[in-house]
Parts: sequence; structure tokens; C-alpha cells
Amino acid sequence: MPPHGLVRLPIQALPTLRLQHLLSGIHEESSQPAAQACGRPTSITGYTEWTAAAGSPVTLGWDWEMQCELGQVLWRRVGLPFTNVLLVDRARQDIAWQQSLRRLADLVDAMAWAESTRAALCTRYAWSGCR
Amino acid sequence: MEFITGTSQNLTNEVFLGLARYRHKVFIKTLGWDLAADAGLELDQFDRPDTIYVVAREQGDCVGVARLLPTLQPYLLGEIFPQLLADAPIPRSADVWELSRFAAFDFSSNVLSGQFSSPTAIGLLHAVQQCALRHQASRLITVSPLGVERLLRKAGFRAYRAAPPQIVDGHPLFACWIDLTT
Repeated sequence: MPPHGLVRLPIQALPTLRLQHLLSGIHEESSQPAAQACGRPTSITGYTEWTAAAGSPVTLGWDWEMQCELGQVLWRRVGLPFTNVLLVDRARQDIAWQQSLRRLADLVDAMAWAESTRAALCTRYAWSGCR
Repeated sequence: MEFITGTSQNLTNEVFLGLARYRHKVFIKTLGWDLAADAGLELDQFDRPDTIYVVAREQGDCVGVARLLPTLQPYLLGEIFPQLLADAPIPRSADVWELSRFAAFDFSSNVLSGQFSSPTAIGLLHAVQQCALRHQASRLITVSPLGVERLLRKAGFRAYRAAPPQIVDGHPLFACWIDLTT
């Protein structure tokens, strides 16, 4: 039985897929006492959600982490994306779910998503340091 | 830990009232949801004689709860949150059940690992799966915060969105499909 509710997208159409930012947020930290000790290493992680166009059923979201390397703030995708898209091959056959997610992850990594995410977080959380 | 399943008609009063008190503690007192409550119990119009509950208990105390509703009868997503399906039809099928009121806080533990990240949550999910399969479900649909997707993936389920998430009462929610047979 083929999966229902999925949006099947030809893999050859991936390079032309244009995503627009929907919403972003920060994951709440663990409430475990050990994780809240003063002076411990921490990280900022969150999620970001994108759609293909206004009113489009395509949804693609992923977790991210902010890292600081060599004085630069880097935004990195964490884990495979979450979506309703299942890629199909040129014969219009379903690609394996995990393989499809990995191809979508490649798409995410080729996108310039960090600035839209950063701007949305500044608006949502009204950080005083944001410009 | 034990998992008990049943309806309001065949669960003991102790278990049924226990799960309603637990839902009150989780959803109203802890998460602050705007839900109706009566004498410390959280029950709504979808708590019917045909509603199936899956309850996780530790030494007699409720530490997790889930609710299953057939989609051939009124259910939460179809009645209250149909907008989360965007243009997709509201599921109505004998092999599709709705999962709702899923929670796995262990209030007796000193560690609050959250609603979706604990071993109890994963155990409860698998108990829900087994219960739904016994009722001939092949898929579940659920209105969920984004954290549920992470839990489902961690627990090895194939889950995917029915439509893009939307902000509801300040939190992103989405309609989530869960395959039970993969």
C-alpha cells in the first residue's frame, strides 16, 4: 500500500524547488539539574520551517545548531529534515524514505537559510542584540 | 512499568479517574493549555464510550497517557483543527485512528525529561502502536507540536506531515501521519 498524504516530487525537480521561510524557533533546554549548572558548556539549538510557496502543501523543516568556530558564528543543520515530500525517480517510482530524506538534506545544505532563520528568531524573541 | 488499555466502560474507576487527573496535571497545570476541567479532571467531548486509552503506570501511579479515537466518528483534528490539513481531505477510514492527549511526564521523578523525550514516552508510543494494530489501524493521525516528530523518529517510526505547521496559541502545531506497519 503506497503511503498516503505524501507529496511526490520528481527528483529531477529538486534543483528548481524554491523554499520560503515559514517560522523558526529555539528548542527549550533540558530541565535536568546537571544541565543547568552555572558555567557548563551549552549550545543554542532550534528548528526552522519552510514551504514551497504560499498555499503550497510542501513542508520541509529541520533542526539547527549555532556553533562558534574560529570567531565565526555558523548555523548547521542537525539531523535529517522533517517533511511530507517523497521523491520519485525518473520512472516515477518511490525512492526509499531515508534516501529521499538524505537528498532533501542535501537541498537544505545548499540553501542560504541561516539569515532568514536568524531574522525570524530576532523578531520572535526580541533579542536586544539583534539588528 | 505496566501499560493498560481499555475504554471508560472496561477500565477500573481507579485507572480512568487516574488518567483524567494526570491529564489535568500535565495539560492544564504544567503546560497551561486552555481546557475545560471539572473537579481536577480533564475530559472533553472526545472522551466517549468508544474512546480507547493507553495508560502507563509505575507502582500504581499514572506516568503516561494516550487517547485513540476512530476517524469514522468525530475526532479532534477533524472537528477542532481541520485547518492543519490545509486542502487535504479530513481522514475518515476504518484503518486510520487519531492519537491525542499523548503525555509521558513522570512527576515522581526528580528529573523532568520533558513530554516527548523520555523512555516512558517511547514505551508508551510502542504500546499505542500495539493497541492500534489490534483495532485494525494501519496509520495514526495526530495534532502535534514539533517535538513529537523528533520522538517518533527516535522511536523508529516513519512519520510525516499532512501539511505545513501553523502557529496555534503561540506554538507551532501540525497534523502528523504515523505509519504503524513499517
